[in-house]
Amino acid sequence: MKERLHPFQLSILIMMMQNGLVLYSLPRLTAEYFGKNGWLSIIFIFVLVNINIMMIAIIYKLGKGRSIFEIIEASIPKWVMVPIYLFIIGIWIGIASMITSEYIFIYKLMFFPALPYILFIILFTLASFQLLRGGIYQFAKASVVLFFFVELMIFLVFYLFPEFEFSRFTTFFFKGETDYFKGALHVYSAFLGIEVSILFFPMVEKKWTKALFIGNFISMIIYLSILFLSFGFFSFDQILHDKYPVMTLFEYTEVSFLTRAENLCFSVFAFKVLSTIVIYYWGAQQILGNINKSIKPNFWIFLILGCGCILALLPDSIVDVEKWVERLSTCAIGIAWALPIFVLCILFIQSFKREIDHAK
Amino acid sequence: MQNNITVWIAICCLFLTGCGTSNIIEDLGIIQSVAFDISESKENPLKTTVLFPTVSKKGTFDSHTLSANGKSTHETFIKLQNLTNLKLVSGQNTILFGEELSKKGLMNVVETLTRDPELGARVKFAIVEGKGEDLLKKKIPAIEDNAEYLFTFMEKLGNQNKVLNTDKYHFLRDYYDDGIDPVLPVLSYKGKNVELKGLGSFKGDQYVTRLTISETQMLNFLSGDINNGNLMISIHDEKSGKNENLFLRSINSDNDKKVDTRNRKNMTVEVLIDFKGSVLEYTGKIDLSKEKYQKQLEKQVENYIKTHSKKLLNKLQKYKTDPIGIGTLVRNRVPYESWSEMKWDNIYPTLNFDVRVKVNLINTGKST
Amino acid sequence: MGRFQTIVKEMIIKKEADSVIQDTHHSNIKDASEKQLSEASFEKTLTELGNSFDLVHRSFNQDEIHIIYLDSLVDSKILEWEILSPLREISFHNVEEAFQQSLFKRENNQEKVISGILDGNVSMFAGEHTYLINAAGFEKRSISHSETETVINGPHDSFNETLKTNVSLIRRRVRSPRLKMIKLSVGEISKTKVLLIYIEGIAKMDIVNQLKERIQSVKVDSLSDSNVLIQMIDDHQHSPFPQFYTTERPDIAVAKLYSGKVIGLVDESPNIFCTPSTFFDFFESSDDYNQRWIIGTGIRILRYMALFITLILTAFYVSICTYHFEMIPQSLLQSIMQSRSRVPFPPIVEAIFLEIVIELLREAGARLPTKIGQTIGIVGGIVIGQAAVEAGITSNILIIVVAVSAIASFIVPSYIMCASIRIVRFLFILVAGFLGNIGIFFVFGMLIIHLTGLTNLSSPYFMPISPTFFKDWMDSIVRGPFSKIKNGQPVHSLMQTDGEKERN
Repeated sequence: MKERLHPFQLSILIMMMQNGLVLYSLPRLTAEYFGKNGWLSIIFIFVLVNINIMMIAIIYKLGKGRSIFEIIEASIPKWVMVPIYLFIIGIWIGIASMITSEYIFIYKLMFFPALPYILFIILFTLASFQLLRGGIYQFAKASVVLFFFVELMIFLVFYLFPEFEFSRFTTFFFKGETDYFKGALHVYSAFLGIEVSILFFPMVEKKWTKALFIGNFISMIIYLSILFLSFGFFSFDQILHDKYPVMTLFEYTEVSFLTRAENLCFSVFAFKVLSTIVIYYWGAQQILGNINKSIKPNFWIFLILGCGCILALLPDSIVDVEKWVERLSTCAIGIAWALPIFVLCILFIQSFKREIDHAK
Repeated sequence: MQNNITVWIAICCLFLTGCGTSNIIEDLGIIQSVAFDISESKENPLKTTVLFPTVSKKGTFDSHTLSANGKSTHETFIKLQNLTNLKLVSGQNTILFGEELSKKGLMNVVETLTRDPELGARVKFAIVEGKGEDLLKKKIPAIEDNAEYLFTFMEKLGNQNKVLNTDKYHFLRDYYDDGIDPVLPVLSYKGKNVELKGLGSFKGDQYVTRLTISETQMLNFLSGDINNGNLMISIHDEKSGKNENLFLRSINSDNDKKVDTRNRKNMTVEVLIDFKGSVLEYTGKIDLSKEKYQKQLEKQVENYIKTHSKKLLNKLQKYKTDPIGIGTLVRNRVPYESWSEMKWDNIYPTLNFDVRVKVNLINTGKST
Repeated sequence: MGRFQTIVKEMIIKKEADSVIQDTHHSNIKDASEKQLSEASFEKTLTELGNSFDLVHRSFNQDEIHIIYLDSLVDSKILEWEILSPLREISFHNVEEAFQQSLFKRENNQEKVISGILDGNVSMFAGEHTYLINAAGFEKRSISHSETETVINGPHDSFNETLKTNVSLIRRRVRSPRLKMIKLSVGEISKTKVLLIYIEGIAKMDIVNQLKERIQSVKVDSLSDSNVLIQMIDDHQHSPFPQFYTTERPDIAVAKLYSGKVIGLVDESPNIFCTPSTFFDFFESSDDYNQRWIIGTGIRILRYMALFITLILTAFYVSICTYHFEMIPQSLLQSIMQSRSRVPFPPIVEAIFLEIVIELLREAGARLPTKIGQTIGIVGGIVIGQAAVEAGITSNILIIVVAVSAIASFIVPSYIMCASIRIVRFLFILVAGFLGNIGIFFVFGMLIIHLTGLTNLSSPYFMPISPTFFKDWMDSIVRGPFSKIKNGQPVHSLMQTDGEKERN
């Protein structure tokens, strides 16, 4: 009997998969692009992401659980799809390495200015190698345990309640200089990662689609609560001036025997970032495996990790990284919408053809 | 086989760590307290004094102060590094600003403190009457370590009075917020001990006026809800002509502020305070067990609070500083466009305040 | 010691007589294919067993009846009562009637006669027939307390080396015909008996079969202890963590039987192993069940906290003192600085030095004879620690930290897991010294990834948490009230995952 991913494991996996690094600068982004009370924008973006996920769920249902490669290749010859596949792989590996890079830059900024950059890259590559080697099942199991540790830090926010005041929210909505489109792209990138779930189809139990929604919902709740708190905790201009407001939030919390807990929080956050990176690498590995079925999967792992390593070494400064992350996220958002729509179209065409055949 | 590769790579990467720098704790001079002042020289206007503990080989504890002049905060830090054998780093500290520097404007200094990731959000800020350097260098016989004393002193103040709970986060938050102005406690070292002189109120980032201790108490009551506060009142008794003292303790007060913004030219702010306390000291002769006399006393306390808070508010309006946060109230009531056009600085002095107090004495202590 | 000598002697004698036996064996093997049995006779037996210290050969009835046995394996009382007295009285032809009361069987195959003698039977050669009479009576240790697993409130008997005693301890607790045993034999020369015990109906037959196959595929000369056997049949041989749970106590063994696991007994070993086991099995003790559930839960949670403390506390101290001084609260700063000021080494050297001293103490204490052990323990612990601080080699805060984590490491009920955790702790300290907090978390993450990937006979190691089954949490993470603990087998998966297929 083949092992399948259970919905509970899946929802935790999906929650860990989503790009959490954006969370650290999310209050500033929403304040910059959406003006006062910008935290409400996350609810709108959540609705958009839900539409995206619904497409994936519909594909699963209509395709009756077939993997998307089967669906696509039933209608379109492989050699046409290969460049598109390579494009997707490139974007995914790129975004994974850029996220690694961004995390390392922030870490070095805050805590370890002098430690060599390559050391962190090696650590992340090692950890991703271990996870990729075990396949998706081991990854899911490990992520359940890691999830518990990452979410422990949420409890620290209780220390913020004494300083929280509703009056700082102001009664203005979305006023100030705003750029809705760019802002929407930035906030959407906080939910990225979920599009890789389109490749899960052959490995899941029957009723798994609710796991997608649950995982996404939990993510949204966490983002929303932290945003809400930070808008009430900080004044508006203070958020605009602070690059990583959530980091300051954790700096403020003080446990009696440990101060400056943000060090621990950010280190634990490495697990979440690791999950995002590994899922992108895994997605790339699956597509590569599909292009050429004869080569052993381990070879792809080495190739992908090597590329990821080299790409992560490229940026020199945090401005560079942010620029690249922005561009790659936009492309990834594009893929996240385009790929399901594409597969849906193919499904419809296939069902039309079948009806016509039946009619004949 | 693959496990072996992992292990080997992990071991090799440990060798790379020689390139990093470590901060072994006994090689560090962890700065406990910093004071910024205006120095006498023209080209290096900023003077920084740092205080850090040192431990000798025998294990005895001692603190060390150093000063340097420079144009900006980090320039002075670099100069200070050259004066000691330990590596200076910022730890949890208290930061003191000299009076003159605060009057000129603090933002230059504070901005560096924000940008530096080594400083946490809980560093305590305070103003020193005179020069901060002198406070740090003063040797008080009962105090071993000035910095730790200051830190625990300010923590105690913060626990007692919400208004006096000032650190980097509070200062920045109120500075950036256009509806409220920051405050910092004022310490003085003249005399035998380190003394809290009052509360300094800011306009923007400049220190404009100092509130006395009693005014600070009033400010506390006006700002928000108080748990476990206390109040010292001096009442003039008509019968005997003397001044009697009344001390209330365990005060729980609820505070509600309403702003009437319909008439833009002439806005009124209504402050309703609900005051409950227990009497700890009363030097007068009235028998407090009778209800009539209690009511009389309550009325006297009400009057006292009303008059003094009015005085305080007038003083604040005169200096155009708003630590209570009336601006936030007004902002939440008017639409965005009016708020952006309104020149709050000019309107603030024209506000009318109406303070209404309701006092309730919970008990009168153990005796009548 | 005597037994040991006997076994060694047998092995040596076997080697000496090898040249003779080689030919006999080869010819036996060749003959076996042509002729079914080789005839047994006392001359052949004598030649094969050779000149052994405990070989006894007696003849009765004017050399018509010969008996051969090994003195060290045979109980003299049974020998006298059942064999020698009848032998003195009977005549040649009534052999079979005279021995009706004892266990005897006719045996003709030479190899089986030899193995029968080695098992403690007395072989009797009477004319054409050969008989094996069971007179076994090994010297054995009586049932006593368990040295390594103690329980405050509960049964105190423990398994000993004899298979028969162990089986009796189990049978007494499971009086049901559903208790099944499978007999296997491991080891070419030692022919150690291995018994697999399970309760039919509760245990899954796939596990039993898989375990049986694994054990039968082990090809070694000898097997000394069950711990050796389980390392040979492990899924993951290179992991520092034990995958099979072992115990010396019959009450735990029987509890495992009732929850659907299969247990294995190895002859001459007091430890039994059980499968499928999970990581959380190593943190259970029968004390939890004998006390009330709230207290049992509290103690379990204490154990998990102790696990964290022992892994991370010293590493955390090293990383804070080396890289992250800002995490020390103001009040502690003075004492830490004072204690570190006298020490000339960086924190990691200090910490590794102290940890090694504690490991030396522990290992030495385990090898010392009991009379000296206690004194040295106190001397080592207190005096050396105090002297080290006075001399300025270590700081006193570090001594407290190391001592607390050492104490916490002994809370784990299973000794083998305890040892694994101690080794992993060194890894944490090393990484903390080089990389600070990120190193600690990195190793922690790798540890979790490694643990969740371990399997025991294809059943996931991190069971109730990783493939999450909330109902099983009542019994493994906390100790719920007995009404909530579901009896019967916890759900587990025996499925081979894609990842493993890729690797294999």
